[in-house]
Amino acid sequence: MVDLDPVQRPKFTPWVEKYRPSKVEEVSHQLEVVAALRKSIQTGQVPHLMFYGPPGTGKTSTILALSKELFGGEFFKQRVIELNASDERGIAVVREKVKKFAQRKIAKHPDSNFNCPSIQIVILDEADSMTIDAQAALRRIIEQYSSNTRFCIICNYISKIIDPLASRCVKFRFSPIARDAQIDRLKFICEKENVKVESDDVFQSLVDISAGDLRRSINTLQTASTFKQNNITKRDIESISGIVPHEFIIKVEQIISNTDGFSDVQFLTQELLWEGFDVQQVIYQILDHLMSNPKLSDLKKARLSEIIAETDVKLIQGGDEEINLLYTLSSVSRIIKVKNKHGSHQ
Amino acid sequence: MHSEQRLWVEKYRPLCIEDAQQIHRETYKMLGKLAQSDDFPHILFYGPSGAGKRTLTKCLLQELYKTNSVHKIKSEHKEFKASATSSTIVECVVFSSNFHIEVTPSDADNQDRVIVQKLIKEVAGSQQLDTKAQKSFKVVVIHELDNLTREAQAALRRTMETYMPYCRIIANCESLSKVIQPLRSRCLQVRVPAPSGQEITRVLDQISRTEGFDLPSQLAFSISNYSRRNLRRAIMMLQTAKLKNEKLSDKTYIPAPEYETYTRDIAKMVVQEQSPKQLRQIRTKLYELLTKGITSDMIFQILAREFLKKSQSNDKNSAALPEIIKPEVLKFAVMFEHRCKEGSKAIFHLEAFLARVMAIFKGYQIRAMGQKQY
Ligand SMILES: Nc1ncnc2c1ncn2[C@@H]1O[C@H](COP(=O)(O)OP(=O)(O)OP(=O)(O)O)[C@@H](O)[C@H]1O
Ligand SMILES: Nc1ncnc2c1ncn2[C@@H]1O[C@H](COP(=O)(O)OP(=O)(O)OP(=O)(O)O)[C@@H](O)[C@H]1O
Ligand SMILES: [Mg+2]
Repeated sequence: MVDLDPVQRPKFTPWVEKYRPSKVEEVSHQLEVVAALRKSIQTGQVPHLMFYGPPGTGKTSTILALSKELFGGEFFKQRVIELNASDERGIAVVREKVKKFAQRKIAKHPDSNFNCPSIQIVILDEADSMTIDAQAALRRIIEQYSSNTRFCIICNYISKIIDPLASRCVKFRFSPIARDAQIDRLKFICEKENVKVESDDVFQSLVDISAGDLRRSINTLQTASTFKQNNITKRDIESISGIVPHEFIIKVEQIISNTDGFSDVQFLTQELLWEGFDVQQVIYQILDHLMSNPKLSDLKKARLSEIIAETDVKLIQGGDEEINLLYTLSSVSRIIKVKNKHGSHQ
Repeated sequence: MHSEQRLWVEKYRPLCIEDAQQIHRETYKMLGKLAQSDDFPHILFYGPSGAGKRTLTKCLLQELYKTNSVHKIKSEHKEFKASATSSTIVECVVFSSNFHIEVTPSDADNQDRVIVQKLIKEVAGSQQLDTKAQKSFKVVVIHELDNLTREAQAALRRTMETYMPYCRIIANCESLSKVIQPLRSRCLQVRVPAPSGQEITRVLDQISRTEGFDLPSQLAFSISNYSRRNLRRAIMMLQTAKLKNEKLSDKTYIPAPEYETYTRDIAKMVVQEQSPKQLRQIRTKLYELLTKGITSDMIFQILAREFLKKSQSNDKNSAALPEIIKPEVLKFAVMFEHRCKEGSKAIFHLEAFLARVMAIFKGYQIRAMGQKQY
């Protein structure tokens, strides 16, 4: 690891880092985790932990904050090792690194008054990308060193972690950050950074585009603020957010509800791709828009979500965007055009 | 004649914001402002091929460091051990200036993770070389982020957080859906739409004026049409046409790329005859495309476009299928394209798809005949 002398560090830090919670209590929204870890800090008792949940919800922040509180500000680096996806994590390497770390004599805290638990922590961040073999080997490693070493396994998808490993940990789910919690945090940052927004609508749209990812909303806010410090508007946010302009969604709706051949939908698909829109975003927004249409029956709405869920999976697994978008739009078109048998269900 | 031989796509690529005003003007303006401030985020450009993503990156580098030497690029061949315990060597070519490096980790196929873990992490963690530089950070340009394996993408996550004080990533991709969410969450995503037909003709006009030849407007219009809003392709077509013809006229022939005509022929063969013999001949053709490096994605796209396009009654040669079976054909295109991604041999799934199209079309014809007799 390359570590630079702190005096040489440039002044600029991105807000996501600047406002990374440094205490467990500062972690927003994840009440259950915070309550459990509060106890750990008081008693010095820490189980093996497993944090899982979507990006930007506080997983990495929470374990770093916990480490700092347990072991104290700078000293925590002596007691914690972090292995993430940027490190080589084959079986041999993990075993070697953990062994070296766990077998050392535990460093004494320089301040004898500091109540420092005599354990150390191995953080395995971004563990979804570890191979099954490496995970299986970890199982033994955890047992071997559990007298003084605690493991914290962090991932986005719990399904990617083998059960024997998951079952050794106390599991905490990090949920997408709720609207109010996000707005509180964003307002707090605006105050500290002396950034003014035109109205509270701005926060609403930041939250809308973030889909529960606080990192994303903070980043978007910071970028918007480099363009202007004062009077940031909803439009400013939308122009850098990657959402598809409403006019386009309306246009898509019009075309797919009125067409009677394939070629219109084919042309529309091509145009959406040429415009470069994020295909997933396009289909989420269309679904959203259609779901709020009172003229569509519940049955049709159910079938629409089914089609869109199916496409979502295909896209995430690397499916071709053109073929999948064309399929989705033409299927959606067919569903919404079918005449309801008993009049529309309202 | 030396200048004739230089590729126009390089020769006429603008290298600073002031020269790049013909397309994406708003985006350039926004990036110009961003580059002034110290709050410069990681950036991910996304949009179709030939839309101008690389050009944006180059102009942005110039704007960040305020010097032409960002364009003085040297290339270097590097080798890394795949892991501490293996003897596999992973190779890649690194392009660099004094201020940045550029890599396409996906060139290393399944070993791309090694490039991210070794090369990018090391560069990201070291200080800006030029202490007089305008910015305290250096830039790592990552091309084709969407073609990286998930492991390689994951390997970027903490690097992007930990080394942000010394390093920014500028990445580009075509399909945003192939970039994992945690990475998207860490970047400012900038959409780069394909230039419009009008914008393309404007760029072509500019080039013809500088080169000193006449470009009839009708020809400029057809090139921009054929290019499918891909500016690189349009410029290449113009240069090829100029190389082959002393004087350009409205009627100058603009050939489509060979793989496209070739794939379209395959679609026609499916519609012309449905038999095992025909399928065998098709297989040979598919093989040829694949060995030339045309991806299964591209082949599926062109085939689907051909089968599903509007049928022109006067075009006997068209591969367009009857409206009524189009939904089913598309359903199978999606299914086999998906299998192609999961499986290992693209040829099987392409062939299976075409066999299925043959069966569907044959079934349709038999039904249609039955109805006629009735
Ligand atoms: N619950 C939270 N409370 C306060 N800030 C948060 C929270 N979640 C995220 N953030 C903000 O977002 C940034 C990123 O969060 P963090 O690194 O903890 O995410 P993560 O859950 O580890 O995401 P990933 O899965 O992408 O690694 C933090 O630096 C912080 O500014
Ligand atoms: N702003 C511009 N003004 C004039 N010409 C441009 C501009 N941007 C791009 N071009 C031309 O278009 C060509 C293609 O652009 P570029 O290579 O940047 O596309 P790209 O999006 O990176 O493509 P790919 O994804 O296929 O690599 C360039 O060779 C350049 O000549
Ligand atoms: Mg994290």
